[in-house]
Amino acid sequence: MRARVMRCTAVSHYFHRLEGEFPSIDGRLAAVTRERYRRIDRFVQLTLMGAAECARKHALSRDCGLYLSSGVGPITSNVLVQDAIHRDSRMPMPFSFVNTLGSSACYHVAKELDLAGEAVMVARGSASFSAALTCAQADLESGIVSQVLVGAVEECVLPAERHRALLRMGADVTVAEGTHWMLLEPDEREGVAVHDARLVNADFDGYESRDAARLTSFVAGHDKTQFGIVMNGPGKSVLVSLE
Amino acid sequence: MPEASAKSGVKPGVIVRGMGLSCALGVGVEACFTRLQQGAVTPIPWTISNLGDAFTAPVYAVPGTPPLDMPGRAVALIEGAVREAISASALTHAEIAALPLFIGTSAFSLDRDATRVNVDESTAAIGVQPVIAHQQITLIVQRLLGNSGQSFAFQTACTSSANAVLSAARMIELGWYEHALVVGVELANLATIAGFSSLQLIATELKPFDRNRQGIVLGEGVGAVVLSAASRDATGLHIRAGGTNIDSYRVTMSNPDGVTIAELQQRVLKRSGIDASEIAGIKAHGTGSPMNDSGEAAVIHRVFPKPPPVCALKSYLGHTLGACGVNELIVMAAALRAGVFPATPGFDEIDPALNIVPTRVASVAGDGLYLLNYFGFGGHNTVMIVEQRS
Repeated sequence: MRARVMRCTAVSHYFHRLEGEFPSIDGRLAAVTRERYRRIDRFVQLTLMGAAECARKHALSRDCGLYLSSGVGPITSNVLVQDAIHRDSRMPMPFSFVNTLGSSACYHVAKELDLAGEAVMVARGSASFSAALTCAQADLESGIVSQVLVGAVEECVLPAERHRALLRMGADVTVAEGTHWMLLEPDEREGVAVHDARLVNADFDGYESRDAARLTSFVAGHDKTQFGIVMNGPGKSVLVSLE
Repeated sequence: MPEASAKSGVKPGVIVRGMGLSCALGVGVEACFTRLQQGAVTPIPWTISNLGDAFTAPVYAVPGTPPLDMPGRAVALIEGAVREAISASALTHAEIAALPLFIGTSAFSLDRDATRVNVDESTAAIGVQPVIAHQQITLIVQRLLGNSGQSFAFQTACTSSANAVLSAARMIELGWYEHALVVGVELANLATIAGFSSLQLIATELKPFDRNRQGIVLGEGVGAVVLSAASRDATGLHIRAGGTNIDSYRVTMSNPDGVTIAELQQRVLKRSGIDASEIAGIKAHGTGSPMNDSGEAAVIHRVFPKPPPVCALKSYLGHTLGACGVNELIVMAAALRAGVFPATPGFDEIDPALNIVPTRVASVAGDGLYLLNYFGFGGHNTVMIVEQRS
């Protein structure tokens, strides 16, 4: 298995552990998007904000591939649909039902960033970002895209007790939400794997997309252009230094 | 896909090596194909009486299986289709254990009563988070096969399993994998029925491209295919090309002028070196909803000056949502293997605005290239080109 390095040209990282309630991200979202969004749920908000922050100030090719990942997905909209049916014995609201599909988040990103290339949402539990990176790398290697925007997004059901119960988390686990993105392009250079120990960050323990959070927080704290992603085995990607 | 082959100098084809299917046509690929030749399938009525005013929605359910709310039903259906595909593929134990798994389903989270409908209670006992559908499905398949391969779960609405097929084929073509298992899963459940009913998209009868079409009829089904690397001239059904894009016209529908999907089809044809005139037939998405069929008809006229025969399969299976990519691929593979291009039950009267006349009766299908369309919420469009070689 051989694949080229995907050089990081932009990165965005947002992560927030719940303390009482999550802060509004309306202003931060509005600062990076062309449109004013209504009737979108928190999952779509987080997706749009992260993708737009990453892509800001960078020219995206129209064939840029979009690869969204999540371990838990749009869980709040799912719970709203379930509550309508099973708790309230009524029909679900149409937009809540539509938002249960992760594809809705991809739709809003593609529209906001005017993307016309490959676009998928993919998951693999707590390794969902790695699955998305693999799909992105396959499309780059196949030559069907020239640039890829890869992200991981997690949201929480509130109150936190309900989130923990749904995901069978212990009562002492602090729940968190986040959005983590990388804009990547093929690079012919070789890379040196960044040692896992440099990426370990206990802040993200227990968080479904901790692989994405560790990568994007690390790269965001350094010169992003000196890093890339490369596959080192079937379905597995590692961060490499291009220095 | 050929561009990758050109770069590497190696030209592996990707072939459908094994198939398994449980859908409204029956259980087992051959049983499904035999039933397909007998004409339309009648959906069963499902009356919902606990969500306000009672209503009845037709559902294309898998026949001869436990009732829709029976515990363990989902596991039985998933295991049955996977077992059939694996058996037909004749892979070794070692190959089965290492198979990468590509799941396609529209459900990210399960209906809460899916603990009865969609999920075997026993899976909860081995530590799965019951709210996450794709993790459940992955676990069911991996447990059945003793498999520890990489997994990818695609969530792109009604294009989910079609995209799973394309990604798996792409990785095989790159030489990353020798084989892959792709599974599409969509099972009848209350949340899906209620959700589509709330959108007022459900009709009483499925009539693809018909002047009197009024909407979709949901179906359930599990399809599984084993894809393998093969030489370009191997006999069987090859996954030749494909691609996806997003139409940002509306979150619940593509642009009825067909421009975005036409761009996708032309892009896929161009990069695979296939001329539109080489396409021998089209398997339409053909949901029977007014706007989907209108947009799809526009696409066909934009891309094909002389459209080849068009069929739609949902009046046999219902709309199996995220699973329709694999399910309809399998039905087409079985039909083409037998030299048959399927009829389109439900179509009676031409819609002059569409000017599409899908196949009224089954016809002879030769070897050649066939185009398969899949569209979904979120503007997701997927096109797949397959080649039958005998």
